[in-house]
Amino acid sequence: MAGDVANCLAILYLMGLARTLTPSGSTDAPYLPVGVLIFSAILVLALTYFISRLYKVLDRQATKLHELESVVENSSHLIAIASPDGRLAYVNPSGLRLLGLESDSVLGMNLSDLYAEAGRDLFRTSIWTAIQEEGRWQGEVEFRNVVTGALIPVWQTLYCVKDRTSGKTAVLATISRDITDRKLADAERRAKELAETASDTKTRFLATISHEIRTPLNGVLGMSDLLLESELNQEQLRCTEIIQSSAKAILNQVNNILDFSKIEQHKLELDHSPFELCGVVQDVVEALAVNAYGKAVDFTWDIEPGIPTLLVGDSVRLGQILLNLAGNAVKFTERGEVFVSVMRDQELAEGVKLRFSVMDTGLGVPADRIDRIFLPFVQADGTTTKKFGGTGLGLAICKQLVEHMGGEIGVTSEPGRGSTFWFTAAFRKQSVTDPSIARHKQKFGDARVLVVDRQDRNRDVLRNIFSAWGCRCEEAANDTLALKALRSGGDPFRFVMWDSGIPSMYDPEIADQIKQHSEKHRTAFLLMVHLNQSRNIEKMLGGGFQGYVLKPIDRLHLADAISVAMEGRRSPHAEAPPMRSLAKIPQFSARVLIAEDQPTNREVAVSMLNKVGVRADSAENGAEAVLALQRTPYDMVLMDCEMPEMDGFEATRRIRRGDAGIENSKVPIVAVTAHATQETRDKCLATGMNDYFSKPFEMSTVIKVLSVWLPSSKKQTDKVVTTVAAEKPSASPPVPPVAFDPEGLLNRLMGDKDIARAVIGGFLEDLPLKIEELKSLFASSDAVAARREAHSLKGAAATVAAEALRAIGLAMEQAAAAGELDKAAALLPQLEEQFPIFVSALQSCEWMQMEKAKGVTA
Amino acid sequence: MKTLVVEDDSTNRLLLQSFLSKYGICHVAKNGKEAVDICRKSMKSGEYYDLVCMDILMPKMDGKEALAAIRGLEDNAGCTSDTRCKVIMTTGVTDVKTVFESFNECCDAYLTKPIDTGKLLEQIKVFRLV
Repeated sequence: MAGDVANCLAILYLMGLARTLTPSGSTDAPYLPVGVLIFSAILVLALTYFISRLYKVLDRQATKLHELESVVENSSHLIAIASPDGRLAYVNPSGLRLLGLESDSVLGMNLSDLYAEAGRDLFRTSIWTAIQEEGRWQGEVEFRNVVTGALIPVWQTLYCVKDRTSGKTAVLATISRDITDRKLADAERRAKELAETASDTKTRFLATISHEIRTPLNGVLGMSDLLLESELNQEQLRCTEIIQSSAKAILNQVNNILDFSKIEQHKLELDHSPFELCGVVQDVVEALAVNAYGKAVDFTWDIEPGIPTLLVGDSVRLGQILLNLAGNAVKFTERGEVFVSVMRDQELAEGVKLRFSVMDTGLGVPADRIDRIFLPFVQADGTTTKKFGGTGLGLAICKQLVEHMGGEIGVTSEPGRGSTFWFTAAFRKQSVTDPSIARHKQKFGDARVLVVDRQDRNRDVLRNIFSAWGCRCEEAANDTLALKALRSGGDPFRFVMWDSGIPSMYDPEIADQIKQHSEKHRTAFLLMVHLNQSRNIEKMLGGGFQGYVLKPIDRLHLADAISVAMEGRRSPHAEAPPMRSLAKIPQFSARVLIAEDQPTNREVAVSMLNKVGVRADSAENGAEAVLALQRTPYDMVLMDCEMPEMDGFEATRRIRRGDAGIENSKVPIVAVTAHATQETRDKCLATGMNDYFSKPFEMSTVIKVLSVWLPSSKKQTDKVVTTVAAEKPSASPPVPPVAFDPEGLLNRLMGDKDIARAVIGGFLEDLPLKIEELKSLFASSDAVAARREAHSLKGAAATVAAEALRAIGLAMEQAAAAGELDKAAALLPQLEEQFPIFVSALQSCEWMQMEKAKGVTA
Repeated sequence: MKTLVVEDDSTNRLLLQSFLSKYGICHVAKNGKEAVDICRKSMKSGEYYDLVCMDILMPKMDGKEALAAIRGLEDNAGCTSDTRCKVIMTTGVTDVKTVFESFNECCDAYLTKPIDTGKLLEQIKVFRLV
């Protein structure tokens, strides 16, 4: 626009000039005015052009300046300009906000005033030097807000703006970015890293500490195991059993700790082994009974009559859950009772779901805590953990385990009145049913019995047991009623269970009546004594009592105790213990080397081996083991995995390599591991060991390992030493593999018999081929292929539930893996023998017959 | 649902095939190499498997290699982690650890042998394939 105005002015000016010059009338000089006129016109035009250009440039610069100014004003970064000596000239609005300054207060401040105290020194020294020398500085510093005093971490760029002509510093400019958020994120990340490291450390710590605890525990367990094999009277036996069950409870807890970390990492694997339910519950109850009775808390347990007790599942984990819940109950109950019950929750297609309850009359759980009680302890508040954490790992782990077992967990509680913790868990049933009930029925069926106990609960428990045996059970809650019942007509009582808590039993008159009754009617009287009163049994036993049983009542021992008492023999103390029967301990005539660095474990192992007739020597580390093997040929080596100087893995590698003589390179090596992890087990087999078991040393495990791995000439199972051994079936009795497990197969196939038949058909066709293949592989000594073939056979047998064939396949695979082809090949005849057995087992299976029939009609 | 069963043992193969055929098309391969070839061909014709059940210990090419090769084919075909096939490793109990270590990235689940078809079905339901 300015240009347009200039143009107009120029035209007007020229028009005016022409008018003033034209009338000058001078004739002799007409050319001069014209020349001047033209020159002036050109001059004016040029001038006008330059003015318009100037206007344009100035206008563009003003626009640009305005734009830049708005960028600076609106930038979220702090932007400031200072004179070359550092006096502030300008700070943009974001900067003012950040520093808490007013725009006019900036003037007169120095650049260094922006910094927090620590930054000022840095500014005066290194920053200022850098600016002077290099014209630029960049780095992380802290400013301070003058109003709030808050420190503001910033990333600052400071540089000199040079004068274009002189090259001298014209101004100092700085741009600073607030990095508070990034710093916070950094701090969070660091905290997270720290926490992760701490968690790692925790895991390592737990692993170490559990190892440290296990070692002495192994001593306790091993020695009590040995003690149980010696001659004990009933009281000593019970004490030893309690030492053992308590030590096992500790071991469980240690394993619990390891489980917990596995659960956290979602790596928990449940066991699926056969076990006996009553034994699991009894073990838990016994481990806690002394504490309960010590507080005058009655502690009983009962199981719904008729529910299956031979189950398949993870008995150790079940025991852990029960121990945790019952342990809490005993801990928080000062008077009254704790009652554990097992009931049928629901029949499942493939098994049974059981409901376990632990009822107590203790503190109860406050209503506001009930919701949180099963949360992991890290989330609960400290007081909750302390008060209800129980055995340490608390209820969170129970919840996780229960859920893994396909069940639920819950609690109902009334503060001050008590709580009932319950959970459900699913188990498969074993194909066999407990034969003991039938035996008891035969022995005690139709017997008239009397239970004398003040506690309703105890009478209920015993009535349930005796009714299941087919007995006619009568009850009495006190001595008067008891004597009345004894005097009543009818057939005489076969036996009477009399609780020691009935006070008048010390009354000589009553004792006399009992004695007379006992002699006259040949009635057996048994005293029921609390576990912690067993020291006074001598005093209590007298008069007509023929024996006693300890509370909590052990169902597995009860029948034996009653039988002995009924036979008229008084339960002896120093004589042969009545609850035990003669059992056979197999004897081996072999020489075994034990490599174990821990003296207690070494001693336990040697004692156990001696017990079964094995001559045992020990080595303290792997190197010693290799040397010992050089000197003496052993029939077997028990190898601890972790030893100083040379560990078991290295020693095994050397022995297999022939360092202890080539003739010893194939000696069976069985790993003894402290860590029962799959990883360790895999490593053992990969290193060339033949088998493994986890500490503690247990008599049954040692015998099993010896029977499997000793050469058959060293097994002298015919020559046996009879000694006393508990008849009590172990919680998970070793069950020899069956030829065919139809139930297991159908369970896995969701009951689909068509698939089962098709798969078995395929297997029957395939197996002879596999056996031929194995034969040729053994003939050509191809260990790698033989191992794979055996593995495949094992897998196929497992698929069709040919359990015995599977076991042979497994042994073959393991032998081949250890490079012992001879041993693997020696299993072939067994394989061939087992095949027709499997076929005949199929024939006795009803739904397989349908297939046969179909085949015929087709 | 279109499934590929990779398994060297005929008994197990038969079991998986009998069961999975109830839910759709089920092809089989006897080792890892066959499995990779089959996958390559099917991808060329634009057909993708929804599910692969893969044994680990197999002759010629084991499950680990085969799985890596199949995942490679899928990557080349532009499959994302959502569109690639679901893989269940079938393994003996002793190999569970291996599965965790070696297959965590590549496979979606594992089943221990002997195969329990109930568990397999559950897993397929989790994958929303049936």
